[in-house]
Amino acid sequence: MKKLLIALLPIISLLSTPAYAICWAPVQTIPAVSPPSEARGPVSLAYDNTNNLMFAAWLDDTTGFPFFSIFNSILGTWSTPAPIANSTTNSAIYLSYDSSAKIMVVTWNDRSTNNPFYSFYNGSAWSSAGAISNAFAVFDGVRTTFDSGAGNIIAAWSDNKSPYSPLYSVYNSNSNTWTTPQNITIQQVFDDVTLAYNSGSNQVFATWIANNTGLPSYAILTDGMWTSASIDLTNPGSTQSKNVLLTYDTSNEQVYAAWGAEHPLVSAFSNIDQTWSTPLAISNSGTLNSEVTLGYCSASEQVVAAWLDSDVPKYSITNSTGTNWTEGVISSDPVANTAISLAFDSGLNEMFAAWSHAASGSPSDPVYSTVLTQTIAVSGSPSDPVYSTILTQPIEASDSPSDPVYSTVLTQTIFPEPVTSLKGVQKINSFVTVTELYNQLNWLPRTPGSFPVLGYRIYRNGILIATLPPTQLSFQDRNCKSNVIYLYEVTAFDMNGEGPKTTISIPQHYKSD
Amino acid sequence: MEKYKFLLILALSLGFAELSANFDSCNSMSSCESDYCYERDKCSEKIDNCDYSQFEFKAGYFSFLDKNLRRVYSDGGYELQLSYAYRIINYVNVYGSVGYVELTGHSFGLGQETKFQEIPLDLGVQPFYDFTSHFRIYGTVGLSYILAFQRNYSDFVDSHLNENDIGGFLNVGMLYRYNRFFIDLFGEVTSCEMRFHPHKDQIEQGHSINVGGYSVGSSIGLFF
Repeated sequence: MKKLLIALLPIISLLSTPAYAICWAPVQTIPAVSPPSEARGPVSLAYDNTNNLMFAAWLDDTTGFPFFSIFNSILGTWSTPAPIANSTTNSAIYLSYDSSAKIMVVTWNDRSTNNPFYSFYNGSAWSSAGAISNAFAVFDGVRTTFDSGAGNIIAAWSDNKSPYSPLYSVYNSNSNTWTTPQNITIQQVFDDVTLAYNSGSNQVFATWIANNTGLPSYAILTDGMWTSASIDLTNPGSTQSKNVLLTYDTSNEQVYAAWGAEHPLVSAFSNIDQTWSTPLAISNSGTLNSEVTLGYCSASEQVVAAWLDSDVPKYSITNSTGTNWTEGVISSDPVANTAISLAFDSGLNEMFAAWSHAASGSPSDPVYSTVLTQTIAVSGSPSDPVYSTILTQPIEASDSPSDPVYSTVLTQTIFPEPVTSLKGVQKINSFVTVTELYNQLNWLPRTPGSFPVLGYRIYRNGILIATLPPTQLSFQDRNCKSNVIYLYEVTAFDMNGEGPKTTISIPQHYKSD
Repeated sequence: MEKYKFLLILALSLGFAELSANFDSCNSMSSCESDYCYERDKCSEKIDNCDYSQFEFKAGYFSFLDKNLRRVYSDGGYELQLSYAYRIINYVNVYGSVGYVELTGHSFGLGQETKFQEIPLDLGVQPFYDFTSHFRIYGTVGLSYILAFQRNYSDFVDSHLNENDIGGFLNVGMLYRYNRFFIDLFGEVTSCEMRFHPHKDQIEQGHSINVGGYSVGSSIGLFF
């Protein structure tokens, strides 16, 4: 009877959670600074979700000034890099976005005073550089986060004098002043203090590596009071990272922390039981030689971690429930010499990764490269449009300033052939209760020419909406309206430029000659 | 509401028909006067057979009645239920249950992930007949109040939709009793039409959708 009972019990199989495959677009270059120079330290990214702009900022090696560039998602191009301020800095600079005041914040360690400096971008220009504090100098970098519960920007850093404790200051937007820095706790910080806002519990999280124990540590700001402890007590002294990086997973309401030991480690803080999970090694191979940075992809509800494995940018991504990680390579060429910065562009639904290129050698070498000074890569789910830009003929990097550099000049231009057999149809994507219309385009590869195709561009009603890699021969234009005529143009491009447009309208019975 | 009235009247009619036919007699499983007990001289079991309540945990496979929903959630899903029945008269229980239904599928077109969840609250009458002190067949009919939730993993349609409405249900089953415990095989059909109100829909739906379905499964339970 017991066997019969067991045999009759239903077998329930829960279907797997949704998973988005990820693919990184070819690495592209933020335009070179003129005169040529290279970035020193990491490239910081932050997304302005009010104006749908991706900001990148870095320390310019030649001038020592903080530089920035803004990505225009419509044109698919970065603005010409320009200085944020004529204030020199000697460490990495960091960006964060205040969605309440709608301003981008940049912070750095002023080279002459070691005081924490800041500037705001108001939509057209950066404000004059100012000091967050003139009394509490910075050990390395200054990082900020936006506390959307209180509507404040919070800055944190490690004190430049003993006991090198973590400090924080809050920006009062009414008086336009920063509060006097206070200790988060009395503990020696190894390098920086990283911040993140937990919107599920309305708390600010601060993390760092404790200098005396090497343990990843954290503190939580609740109603103006900090409480602190260690994230992982199991492996004192094994931590190799200088910092613990954070991101917040809004779908699962978890703060993720990442750092490196022998391999990259991740732990998640649950709002429900107020504890950190046992640190998980998200890669068990290779040689970790950078910070482990984190980003959150709000479209697919996935957390992304990135690090360098023997200078090769690598990443790992969770499934939407945060239970499994999948590892891969962002790009094997070019390699990097700084940590990877991640930021999600919710307008494009793409994750950006940025780093400084390692082609120029060690920071002490007076060499430069006019291209790939900073590099950028983009990811998205396979159905999302990813962008790609033409790589211009590069001027080779020189070994020293006195070495001759050269550039090749094309004396004859052969434009690409048009794409052939372009077809388009309007389709439905139905969930039964609700339905989306989308336009499906398909074409055949263009006739092979003298140069390989670098990609395809899609225009809707004359506006560029997507740039695709050469292997992609179809495109879905999502969220279309019924009874509206859409005119599409598809072009192929190679290193000589863009070929002629092939045109189609959808629905086709509206097509006019 | 006419269909619900019809279902309720049908259920009550079945119950009273059974009552009038067997008012003065006890059936073998639910009566202290069972022939089975006297033949076997098991008075303790006879007392057990006087249990009025039964509680059971059901689990089964669920699939929609609506063909469009079946197309999206083509693999079906599962249903879990906790039910309670109380014998009010010989051969008739009143029946109540709360359940959870979950299906995952892929949109028709781009194959995007979607999940459908229901919480049905059932109330009905359950005529039954005992062949022996161990075997019983039963049927249940009644009203079903369903809370329905749909989660769509797409940026271009409503990601969360929810609705609720009243429908009806009918189930039949056969159970085997062993001491106070029993196992049960059942089949159930639920019907409940709803009209969802999406904000991002690009095609006017203009019609309601039957979120009911059929389920088959088994359960374990307890008489007390």
